[in-house]
Amino acid sequence: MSKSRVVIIALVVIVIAFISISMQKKTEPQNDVASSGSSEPSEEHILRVGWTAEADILNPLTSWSTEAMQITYLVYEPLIGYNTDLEIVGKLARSFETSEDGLTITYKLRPNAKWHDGEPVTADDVIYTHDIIRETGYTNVAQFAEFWESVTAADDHTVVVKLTQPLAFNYACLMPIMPKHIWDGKDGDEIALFANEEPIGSGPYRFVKWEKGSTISLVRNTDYDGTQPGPDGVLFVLYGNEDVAVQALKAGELDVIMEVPPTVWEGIKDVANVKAISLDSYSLHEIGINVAAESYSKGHPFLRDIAVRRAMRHALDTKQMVEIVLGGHGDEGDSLIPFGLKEWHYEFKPGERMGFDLENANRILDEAGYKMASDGVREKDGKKMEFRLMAVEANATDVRGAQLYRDACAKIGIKLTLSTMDENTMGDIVYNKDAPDWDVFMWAWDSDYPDPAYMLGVMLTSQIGVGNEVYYSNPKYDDLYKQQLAELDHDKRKAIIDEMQKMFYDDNCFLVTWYQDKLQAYRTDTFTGWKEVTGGIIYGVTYDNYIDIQPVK
Amino acid sequence: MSRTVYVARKAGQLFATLFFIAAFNFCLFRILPGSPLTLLARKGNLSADVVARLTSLFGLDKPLWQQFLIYLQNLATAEFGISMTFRRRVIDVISERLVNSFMLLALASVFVIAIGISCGIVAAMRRGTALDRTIVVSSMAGWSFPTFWTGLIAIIVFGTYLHMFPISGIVTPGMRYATSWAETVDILRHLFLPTLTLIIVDTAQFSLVTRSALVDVFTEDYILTARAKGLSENQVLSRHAMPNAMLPIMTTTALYVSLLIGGAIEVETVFSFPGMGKLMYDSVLLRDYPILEASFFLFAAFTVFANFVTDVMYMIVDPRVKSL
Amino acid sequence: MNARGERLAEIFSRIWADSFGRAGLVLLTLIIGISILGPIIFPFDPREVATSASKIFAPPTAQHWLGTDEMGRDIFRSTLAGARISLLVGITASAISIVIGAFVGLFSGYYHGLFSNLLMRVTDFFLALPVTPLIIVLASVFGQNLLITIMVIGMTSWPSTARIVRSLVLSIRARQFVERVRAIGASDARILCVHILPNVMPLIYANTVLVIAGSVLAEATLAFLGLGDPVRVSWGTMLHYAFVSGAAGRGVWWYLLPPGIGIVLLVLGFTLVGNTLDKILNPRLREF
Repeated sequence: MSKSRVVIIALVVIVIAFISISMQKKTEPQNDVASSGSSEPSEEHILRVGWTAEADILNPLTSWSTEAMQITYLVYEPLIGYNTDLEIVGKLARSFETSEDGLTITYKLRPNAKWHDGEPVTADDVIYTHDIIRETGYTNVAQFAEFWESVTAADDHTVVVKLTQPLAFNYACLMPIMPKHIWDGKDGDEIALFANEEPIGSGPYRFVKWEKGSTISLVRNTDYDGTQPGPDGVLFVLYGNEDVAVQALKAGELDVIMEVPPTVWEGIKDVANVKAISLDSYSLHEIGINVAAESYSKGHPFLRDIAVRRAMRHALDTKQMVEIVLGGHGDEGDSLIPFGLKEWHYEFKPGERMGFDLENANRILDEAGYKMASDGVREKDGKKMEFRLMAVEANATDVRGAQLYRDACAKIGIKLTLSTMDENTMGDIVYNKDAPDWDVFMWAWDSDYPDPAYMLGVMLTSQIGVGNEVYYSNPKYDDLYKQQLAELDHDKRKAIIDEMQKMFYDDNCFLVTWYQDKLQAYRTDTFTGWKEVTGGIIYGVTYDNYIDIQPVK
Repeated sequence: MSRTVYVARKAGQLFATLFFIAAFNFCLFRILPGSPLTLLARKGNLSADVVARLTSLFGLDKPLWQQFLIYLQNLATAEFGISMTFRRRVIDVISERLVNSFMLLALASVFVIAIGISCGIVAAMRRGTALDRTIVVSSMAGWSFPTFWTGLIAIIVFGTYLHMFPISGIVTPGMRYATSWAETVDILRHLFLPTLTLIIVDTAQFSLVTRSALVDVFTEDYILTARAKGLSENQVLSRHAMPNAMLPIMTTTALYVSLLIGGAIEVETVFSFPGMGKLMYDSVLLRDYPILEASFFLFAAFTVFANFVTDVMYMIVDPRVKSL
Repeated sequence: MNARGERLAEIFSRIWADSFGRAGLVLLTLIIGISILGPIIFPFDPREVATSASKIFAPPTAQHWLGTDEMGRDIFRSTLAGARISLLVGITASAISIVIGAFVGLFSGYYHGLFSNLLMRVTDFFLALPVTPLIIVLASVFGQNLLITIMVIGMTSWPSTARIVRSLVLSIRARQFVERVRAIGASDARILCVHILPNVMPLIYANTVLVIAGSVLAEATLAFLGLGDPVRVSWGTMLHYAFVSGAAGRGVWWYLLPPGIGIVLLVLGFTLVGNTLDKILNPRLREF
């Protein structure tokens, strides 16, 4: 065989391989209804949603990505949920009623509700869901399981939940109901590894197909006996970054984008048929300071001095951060409870707030005995005032904010050494609860539901090393938390929560930098009726926009 | 040494290397800081008990040697364990992406090699002319282009300004195709910019190597003899020069496999192409050990195997090859 | 001026005589000059950020010659500052790579034995690993700062140098004069230092220059993927921030072009000089 032929044959083999692969692609089934865009465009109205992260898993008990939650909440219905006015309304439950003492909640299920495989939805499914969550500890509903005295069926379509104490927040809106006939018999380990590739729920949309790394499609559930969704289906499309997604929105390949970065958002304000919106959100970004107890902390000892932390608060220019880092799309941070929670967010009275004031910061440090050395870094007892500052590399806004903060602190004689890493690495360093070896970080929180209990609960002593990242421990705070959770009277609860926020603020270990606005964008020429909601028209706490919008005629 | 023994020896080395890659791979990912489960607790408000259960399910609490045995066992059965993120078999997660990457890389490498070798031949035959210099200079420039940057510029030019080609993904989302041909066309359109990027950057290696190999060969006596015998330039090239220039070109091809994988990671990231490269990068961020291990192993195994094939081809092309 | 200086001057003049070499020298002088003088004449302070949104992503003007970035900083100045880091990483990383590569190559080429065999296996092993995934994994294991970037690139790029050096050492070792010197009782160390090393050095020089080019590219890639030192601005980090802040989609070419062209010219400069050096110093060694 001649030598050059060998090479030619090799090339030909590659070409054939390529062609055969593309042939194979072609033979894939064509019957998926939701992914039909071009054939009969006049009849099909698919809502196309752009996102930039892949859903992890469609198992409602073990998924943790916001993306997966969008799917599971449309496929699996909770008993109750938030509407677009952020009121709690019945979903799978046609109605629900809380007893006078707050200890009994009765849910009446929609009598004609069916699972997507045709089986009827009954009270047993609701009981099963409670049981499996209590058993396995999965989902964030599990933290409420200790208050469940009993969950029983009064009849096929009536569920009675008895509680051990009144709950100011009804966890049921976070609990998609699971079909017992499919999940029964699986133990915790099996569920942990259950990919649930063909989710069967009872919600307004049925799951159709997940093209990994590309799209997830849902189709309208025509058997759904609640309000029928406006769109015929929903198609979630994965993009590599927000930038590309915005291009697709402009080109009409998408109808709505979950999150638009501030720099890009400015660029689409004036695009025809595209509406760019800026909404309050439930998220906050913060500078966390290691206040773990001396016995096990590996953090810098100066940080346990409240004077140092007060000075660090005065060095935080929240106004500059909102302007530079967020391009103005946010609010200056103060309290632990995000601005988006409206009345729950504590309005600081004049004099309570420790604003940006470098002079004051310097004075506090001088008075506390931290002497400025010739190199511009303060010291005390031979120890330099040098702290490590960490941020997550992928969170560009945090890195920017950290840079600004580092520069501000340099002016009061505190040297911060910034390092960035990926989120897992930082999580492991921060949550190493036997020996938390870090000083300061920049990170963010998103309140999963619009109730102050979520963020307040993070800072409990019992949450140290799990959610409580600054190792804050305050028995009085813990006690107040329990009180507010059982307080059904709105005004009384607010008073407790205000006190907690104020207390936590004054301890200065968690400096909230900003509350970022949720920037989203949607096309106005495909669907109408989008309702702007705090937290986001989608990706927020309500899923009703997916139902209420109607195709443009 | 007989050919069989030679091939057998090379195959032995292949397996030894694969084993070491497996071991190295294992160690590498165990020293990665960060458990993939820490953040689950933060995000989902899971109790510490649940995190402990998941940790033990993924075998992360077992002693390292046990984890290693499990790992080897998984490798032997081509069962790479279960992805921590997607909670599905790694082999399933990977095979979906593998097809896409293979498509991109096969397409790109065919063009890269064909264009590269042709340019090299043209340059060598027209040595010293303006054409030769153009090819050499543009090859060197192409080699100096960072792959990711070339991709970004391609996006600006062909996507943002000209709107000629899609700049992301592998198919137009939500499209139902009237004919299977329409789908092929759509995929090819999406492959255009990533392929173009790889061609711009990678062709240089082949054109420069081919050129310099041919230039060397052209000075040999037997080429002069062949010309003296009155063979045409094309005959000289195909019968005498190319066969002798084949060795360095094959060496470059073997080395190119490793580079191609690097190129895939950059190109797939820039164009959000759902292939192995993007999966691997995403998995680093998500700390999905099983996926990382499997993809790193596959990449390395692929490279080693390509080297093995090259060795065998050397033997076929050049019978003089003995033990190297 | 000693003999070595004269030799150096001669090499330079021969590079200059080659048109590719000359182009490379001009490019390198230009970029090195810029990296030294640029930040002195046009100092860059990353802390000087915009105070109003209108200065973010502003196109080139008389005040900002190359426009501003997503933080409102001057791109002209940050490009000048970025040159230093890119050069620094390129040069130091390849120094590490060359030292390891040359040592492994010399040792395993000269000695025959278990250890040298082992070294060669290790070399082959690392040569078999795909470099980019390896660097990504290593960089994410060890964290993100300049030193680690340098170490990771240095530690992953030596095997090819080791290979080339080894094959040259093997061929020199087989030559008659080495056999003769050995016969008259010269020690291994002496043979290595006096007879082999001087013959290998030209190859190492040429290789070094080419390895720098590769290291500059590797640094840019790492930084682009978000694994660079966030505190020190290099051309790669600039492109990373350009990418994540959506410069490509907004058509902010003035953010993408300067650092990218900088990398291309720097790599091109080293490649041109390296190839010319290779041609001059190792005329017979270009088969592979």
